Amino acid sequence: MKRTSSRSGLPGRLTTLASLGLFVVLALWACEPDPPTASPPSAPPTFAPVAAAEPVARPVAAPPVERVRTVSSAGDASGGAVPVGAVGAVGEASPATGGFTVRWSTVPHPIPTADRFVIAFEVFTDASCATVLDVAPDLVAVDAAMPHHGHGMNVRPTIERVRPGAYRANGMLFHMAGRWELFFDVTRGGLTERAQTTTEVKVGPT
Amino acid sequence: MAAILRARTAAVVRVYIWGCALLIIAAFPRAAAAERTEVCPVFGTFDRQFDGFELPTCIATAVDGRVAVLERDARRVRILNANGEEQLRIDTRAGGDGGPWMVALSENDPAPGALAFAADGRLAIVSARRIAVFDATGTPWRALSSVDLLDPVAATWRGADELWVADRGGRAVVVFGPDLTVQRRIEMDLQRPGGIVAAPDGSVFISDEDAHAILQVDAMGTLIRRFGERGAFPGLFNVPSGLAVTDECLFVADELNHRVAIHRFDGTFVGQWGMHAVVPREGEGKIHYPRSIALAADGASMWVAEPLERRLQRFTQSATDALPAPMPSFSGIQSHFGGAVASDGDLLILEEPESASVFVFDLRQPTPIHVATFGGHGRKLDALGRVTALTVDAETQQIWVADAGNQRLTLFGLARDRAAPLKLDAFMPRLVRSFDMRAWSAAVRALAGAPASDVVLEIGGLARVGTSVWAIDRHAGFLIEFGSSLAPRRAMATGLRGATSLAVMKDGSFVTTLPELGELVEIAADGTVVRRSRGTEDQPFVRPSAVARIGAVEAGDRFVVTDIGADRVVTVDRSLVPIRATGRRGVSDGDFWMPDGVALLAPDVGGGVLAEAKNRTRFVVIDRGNHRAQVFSDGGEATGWIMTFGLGRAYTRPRERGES
Repeated sequence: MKRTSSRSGLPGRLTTLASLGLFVVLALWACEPDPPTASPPSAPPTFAPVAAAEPVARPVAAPPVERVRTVSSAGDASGGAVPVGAVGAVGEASPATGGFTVRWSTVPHPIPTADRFVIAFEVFTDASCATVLDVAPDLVAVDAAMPHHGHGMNVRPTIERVRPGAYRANGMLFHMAGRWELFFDVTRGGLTERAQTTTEVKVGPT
Repeated sequence: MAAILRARTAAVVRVYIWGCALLIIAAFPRAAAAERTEVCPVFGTFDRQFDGFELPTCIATAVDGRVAVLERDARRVRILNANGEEQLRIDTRAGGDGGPWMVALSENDPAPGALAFAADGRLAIVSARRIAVFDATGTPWRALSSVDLLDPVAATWRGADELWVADRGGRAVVVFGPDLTVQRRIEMDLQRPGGIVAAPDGSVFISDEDAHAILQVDAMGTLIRRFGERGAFPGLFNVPSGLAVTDECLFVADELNHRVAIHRFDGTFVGQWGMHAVVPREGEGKIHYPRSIALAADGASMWVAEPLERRLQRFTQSATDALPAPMPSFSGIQSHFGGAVASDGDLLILEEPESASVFVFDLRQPTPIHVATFGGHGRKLDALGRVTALTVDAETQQIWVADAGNQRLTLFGLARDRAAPLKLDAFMPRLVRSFDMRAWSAAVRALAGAPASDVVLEIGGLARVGTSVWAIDRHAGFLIEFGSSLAPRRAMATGLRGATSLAVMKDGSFVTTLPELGELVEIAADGTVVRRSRGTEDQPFVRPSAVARIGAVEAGDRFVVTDIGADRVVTVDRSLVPIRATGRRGVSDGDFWMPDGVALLAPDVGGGVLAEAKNRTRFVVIDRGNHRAQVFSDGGEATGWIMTFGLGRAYTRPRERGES
């Protein structure tokens, strides 16, 4: 079954190695800096000034199948209903057919483009966010995708339980601006339900 | 002068350097490829094509040059000589003319699924219920009639005494000893074993189709190594199926990549050969869905079985070391509809197995308009693996997806505004919830009062009735009711195995298809099997794969059944007796090549020619082997073709025969 190959013989390899060695020597010689010439030095490359990018994350209008409500404050005085480490706007999301409610925020806020951020969120059993739903952190997942582009994140966030029902999704990263769909998955008894909401990350005006 | 000389010298040197660089770049990969392939033959040269095999799912070669081909639809085994000339035709059916070769003991025994030659020329033929072994002269040598496999698809002899069988349905490899008793059962989280081959070093390779991986195990079934993942690039697999070996190399029939991959035993990728047949029926070297492969006894050629094309091809060693390795053609792939299809109201849902996606069509126009795609292969919650069944509720715009590849039952919702202009909307499909089939299976067994088992159920068919969805399981035949919550409400055991579809009768009874038995079965609402039909003498079912209720006449319901094996669509009455059959084997409009999947269209949808046929029942048939869908009308007396469509294309005037 074995076959011999005419290309893999010793002479062929020696020729190849010799060619490689000659190439290296000549390349080193060729790469010596040229002596200075009389021509004027070329101008350094210039780049158009770019304004500091100011990505903005904002919950946008809800699609018909999910309920998304935006809470304008960073928290409230009722205690317990404020996502851990939350700053800025707080969003809410529920599965299409109910089951639980997620109240979430990001650190930092707004969501940066192509930089790590954290989502702090709490899970409640009811729409009024009165009763905390506590599940093991390995049964809670946060993910995101850009359906227009057909991709998700390039990273896999880790979930950390801060206190019963309160979690942090560490290591989130939206590698480009645009419309992102944010998913909160909660698994109970083999059944995973998804709360989905939309976030738009915009690059600021240039 | 010196400066000019130096500049010219530099220019010459630069040209020389670039030349050397190009030479090295060109030479190194070829040398590396030559070194890699010098011990692995490349069978890239087309030798001969053999047509006319009815679903040849398994092929094996003997040391004396014989070739055994298992034709699953014909329930027979053909023995060819080394030149491909038929020597013997074995009828494996009970009561058939197979004589001592008869494998099935009763008409309820399923068709054989695997065969293997031993080194001494013995041939083992394996069905889910029986193993029959014959010696080289054709004399029955030994048989085992108490086999309990779910779907044996491949077998190999390890040494002279051990027969290893890949049980795809049972997600395991079962090892039978010299007396054909079960020695051990190897699971190792196998998802869907599709091929198996014993290597000369005593190890055994197993292909896992759902995991897109190859496993190498030792004699005791202990995992030695595992390699491979899904993809189209060289070295990756998309449903690795049949396997073959030489002394040092493993050959893999990479079914959905339409090629044969070559690896060393340590998993190192060596190369691949084969070119995707772009047009159905295209052969003579082009490969289309290779399922099983076998190396000729003299090592000079390799046989490739392509069940979907109903043919074998034989390839000989390539004259050069070059590895023809074109990527699978992407054009047209998206019309590779699978068997899962559902329709309700203005929605039509179709499955695409090669990309593990589901397509959503809007039916309010003269032709179906593709408006969304969801899934895509992967393990993520909203990704899909191998979709086996779909159903849809147009009112709530919810889609239930049975995903056997990821072992999930998933509910998707459509964020769809009917008043908005039609467009392809990536944001329309949204995952709602997903049930792990392992937990779901346990709940079903508890509801049905069945003993606990680790075997994960696999949904073969889904049917919606109001807010309830009914499923039938392929493995144990459980009939299960659930709803939007996906949690099982009721479950009952029917005892049926291998069901592939489900339709609901007007009175609440069910109809399902059993392709392996060639049967249509009526099931009462309590799970009792009421009636079995194999068609009539004139119109027997060969491999009925899908059923849909298409209407009611005075005598009761009528159903339309797709018969993959007979390439026709059969209309049956309430008693499941065929009334008429439509279609023939071919590529013209109204012809079929392995029709697999059927769905009824709502009476009030569609414009144009669809609207013109509103007074008749209209249904969609997935013409799988021709990579298209066709719409037909059933007017009570005749069935007529209305339209052929795929993704982004549709026509309502039949083409001339032979027109491409």
